[in-house]
Amino acid sequence: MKLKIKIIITLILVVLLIILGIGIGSVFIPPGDVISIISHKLFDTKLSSTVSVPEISIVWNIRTVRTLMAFIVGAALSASGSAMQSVLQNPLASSYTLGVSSGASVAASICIIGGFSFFGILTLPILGMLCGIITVFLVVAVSTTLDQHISNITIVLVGMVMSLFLNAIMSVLSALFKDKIQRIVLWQMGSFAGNQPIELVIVTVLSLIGIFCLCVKSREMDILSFGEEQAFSIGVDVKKSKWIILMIAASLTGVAISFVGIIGFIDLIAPHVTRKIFGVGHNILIPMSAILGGLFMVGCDICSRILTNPIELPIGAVTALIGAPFFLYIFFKKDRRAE
Amino acid sequence: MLKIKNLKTGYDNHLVLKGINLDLSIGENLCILGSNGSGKTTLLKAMSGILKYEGTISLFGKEVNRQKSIDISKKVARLSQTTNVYFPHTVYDTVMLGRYNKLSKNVFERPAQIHYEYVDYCLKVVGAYDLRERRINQLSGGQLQKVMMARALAQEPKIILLDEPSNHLDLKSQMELFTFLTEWTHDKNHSVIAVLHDVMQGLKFFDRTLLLHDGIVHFDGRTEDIRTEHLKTTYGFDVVSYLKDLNSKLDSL
Repeated sequence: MKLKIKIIITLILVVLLIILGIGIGSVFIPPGDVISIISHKLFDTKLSSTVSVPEISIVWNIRTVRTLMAFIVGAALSASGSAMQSVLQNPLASSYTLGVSSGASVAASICIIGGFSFFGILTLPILGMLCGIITVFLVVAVSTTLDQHISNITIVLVGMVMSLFLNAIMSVLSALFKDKIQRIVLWQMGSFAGNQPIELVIVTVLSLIGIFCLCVKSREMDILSFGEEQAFSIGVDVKKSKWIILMIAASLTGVAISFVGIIGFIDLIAPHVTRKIFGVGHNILIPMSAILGGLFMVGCDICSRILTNPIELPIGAVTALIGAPFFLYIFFKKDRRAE
Repeated sequence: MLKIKNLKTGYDNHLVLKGINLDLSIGENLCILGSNGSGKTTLLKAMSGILKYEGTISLFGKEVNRQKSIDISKKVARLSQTTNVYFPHTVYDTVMLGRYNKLSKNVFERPAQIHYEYVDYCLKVVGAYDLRERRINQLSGGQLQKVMMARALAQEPKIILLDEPSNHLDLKSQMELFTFLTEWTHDKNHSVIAVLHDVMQGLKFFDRTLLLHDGIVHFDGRTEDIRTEHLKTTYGFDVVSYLKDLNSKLDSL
């Protein structure tokens, strides 16, 4: 199938799933009404006669923000994962497996406990970005010290050790500040419920900047995916490019999860699926993995709402339920091929 | 063109090259022979700027370690011993990556026609044009080696550094590769420096030979001036008798 047709099909799926995501919930709103309400709000068109006033509020104030937040967070995480996998030549690398998400969650927990608000509404995204960057720096630095070639096993193990260590810090914080434990635990499980429109705007703007920056680096990522020595021979400033890309990727993760909590595995799954469908060239991979990541996240968010209705599952649990077996599949499939 | 003086380098605390001197002019093709661990690959890595070193490596009048990778890539292309395929790019895209130092900085701009034409030319030269639509994880070792050679050529370098280029190549492909490289240097505007294991290939295709032994140059001169003793000391056994014995088997065919 031609690339353009694949892209068009994907975009149609995105629109359909977003409309479905807005419609599904404790009160089901038919897709026609969802379109009518959104069109009314955006272009001041006439409302459908079947639409009630509470439905307008549900669609516009709650579900649109929620669904778009799921989409943009999925997009940011997935673009970040694609970049990390290429730069580290490691199909198992992702912000989640490298412990970046855990790093950002420690920052968020400290904010929750201390009630800090250094930069107002931007406190969580900024701290998330900083801690994401620090974590990825530590993981890569430790991995490079242990193993110059930064092999799959080394980086995944160091990332997991880092995650465990940071999770232990989270446990200590939870134990010390029992009155805040519920909020911390909820944050760790991830949720798109209750996000404010301003939070959506902040995450969207920062994520789009990050994804654009990664697109600018797409040629370097193509070359770096062949390994550092080859990239150097072709003319890439390996050290500089690698760190810039890792910093952007870690920042994207930090921003993405800052208002919604930890959501794992999307950044591992979406890039793999995107490579299968759209190929490995980063000029296509980065934007399309962002779109597919968003699509998956909206799908998972819908599942989290309908699987055990009326109880809503944490989104992090849903992505992990799908992602963990997928992780094993990738890991063992690769090992078999290596043998 | 390439002047190396008292080059010392290695890995961690292990010194591999212990004072190499070399002066190579453009148009010369050089083969580097030596036993395992003698420092052949290390020498190539130092020349291409990948390894830090003591001493000097002057490339067209400029110290290699002080040049940016993009500037080195315009003069030198290096083909490594093995290529790890982590992500399955197409053959065409892989060779186009060799144009990195010539492409516009704007990644959103489609490469100019001239780049496509040059990639086509490189693929044809190495005999990999028919593979252009394939993904590199579907290629045999020899096919992949050809594609990597095309990518090196796509850089339009003055010098190509080859690390055991006949690895994975069948005999016909080996002959074609070395014949092409010999022609490539004939215009006196290009040079090839190749690390080889096959002494016969070195003797046949290269004008100049460097014999490395334990990180030291044991012989540097015209290939035809190599004597039995040079090879014997370099490899630690009577190479010439061994090769003659192999050739005698051919005579009986």
